[in-house]
Amino acid sequence: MKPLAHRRAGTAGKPPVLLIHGFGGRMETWLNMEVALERDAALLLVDLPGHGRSRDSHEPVGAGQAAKAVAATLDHLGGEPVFVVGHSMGGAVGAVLAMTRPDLVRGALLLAPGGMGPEVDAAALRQYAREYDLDELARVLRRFYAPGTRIPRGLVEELAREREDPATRRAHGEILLSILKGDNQHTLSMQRLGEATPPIHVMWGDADEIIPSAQLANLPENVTRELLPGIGHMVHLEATQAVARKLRTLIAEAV
Amino acid sequence: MTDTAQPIRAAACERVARALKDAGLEDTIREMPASTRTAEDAASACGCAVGQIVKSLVFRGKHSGRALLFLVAGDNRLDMKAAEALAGEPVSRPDAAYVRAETGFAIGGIPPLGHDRALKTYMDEDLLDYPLVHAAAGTPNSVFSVAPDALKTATSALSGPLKEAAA
Repeated sequence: MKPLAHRRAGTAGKPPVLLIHGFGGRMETWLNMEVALERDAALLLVDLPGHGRSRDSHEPVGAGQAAKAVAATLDHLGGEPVFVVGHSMGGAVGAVLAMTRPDLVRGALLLAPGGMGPEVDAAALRQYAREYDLDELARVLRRFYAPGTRIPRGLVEELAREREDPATRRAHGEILLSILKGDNQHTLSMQRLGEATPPIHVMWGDADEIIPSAQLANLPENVTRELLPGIGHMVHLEATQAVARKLRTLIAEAV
Repeated sequence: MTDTAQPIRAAACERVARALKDAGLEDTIREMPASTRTAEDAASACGCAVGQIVKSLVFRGKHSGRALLFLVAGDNRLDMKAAEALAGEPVSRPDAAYVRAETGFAIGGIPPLGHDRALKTYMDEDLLDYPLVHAAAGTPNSVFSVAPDALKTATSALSGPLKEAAA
């Protein structure tokens, strides 16, 4: 399988960290984490199948298939095991990677991950997938952040520009078909997650309107977890420093 | 207002407050009766040395195209050669609209953190000599106080010499 579009950042020689964006995102959504981790990690960023610069090279697929593409990319780059940080759908991808290719995963930090329970705001995801009217997009994006969080206009404009291209909307629509089951989302096997060998930590905002943080209760015992007060679905953007601190701890514990 | 009432703060200050909370720092934001727009104003409002005031200066990296933030001690002038050496690329001074778009704050109140998008940050090593420094909290009449090493950690800043030699 062809490697996904990817980019290296951070500091070579530091512990390797793979950043996996969420549904409808792309590697650029990690900018804040990239700045926070610049001198702590050798970062690898990918665009998931059907997203960003992997939109046309890789068929739009759900988390399970996307994990295979990520594994193929890591194998292509030498197969060195990495610390994985995944947000939302990228969190589900990270979980599947930890379950299916533990040889590639030194540890996983999952932020508001998909697939941990059936509940999801499917309507918000459907609109987010295809909306390119600036005001409408800004309105639906509000649901992704805790109340009171400012959403930079530049971000809304970039997302809108991407969605103006019918090929983007088509790819997003295909991926949603793989993620959603009616108005719910497909779930991962909690039993298999419980058998995963890499250490897994989950962070979730208690103001998440997209995937409820109550799904923390579904996680198996081996998965450590924390609830972030006043944080919405965009954990990596709303609680960048908290995520960076936790990642540094996970890395220190693993070394 | 009673003692327990929370003062209503500017939205810009609230964004800085969120960033402080995320960084695990205390919310020390104070809105001042007088302007804190310049380092001298801020020092007299805070009753501290001008060198303890953090000036947050935004430049644009000519190679990366990205906004870069330089945190400079209030009594130092930023040396452009030193800034470029620390950043590893030539920089140019952007206009106010660029600064506003990149940081989400207007010049005069630009804080060292809490920007719309995280900025690569470089810190004047002279700031590290003080036990406490004071920086703009999003508006031209608000400041917060922080230990400089904690500010360095919170902004993932690279520190080094940035001051212009005295003329």
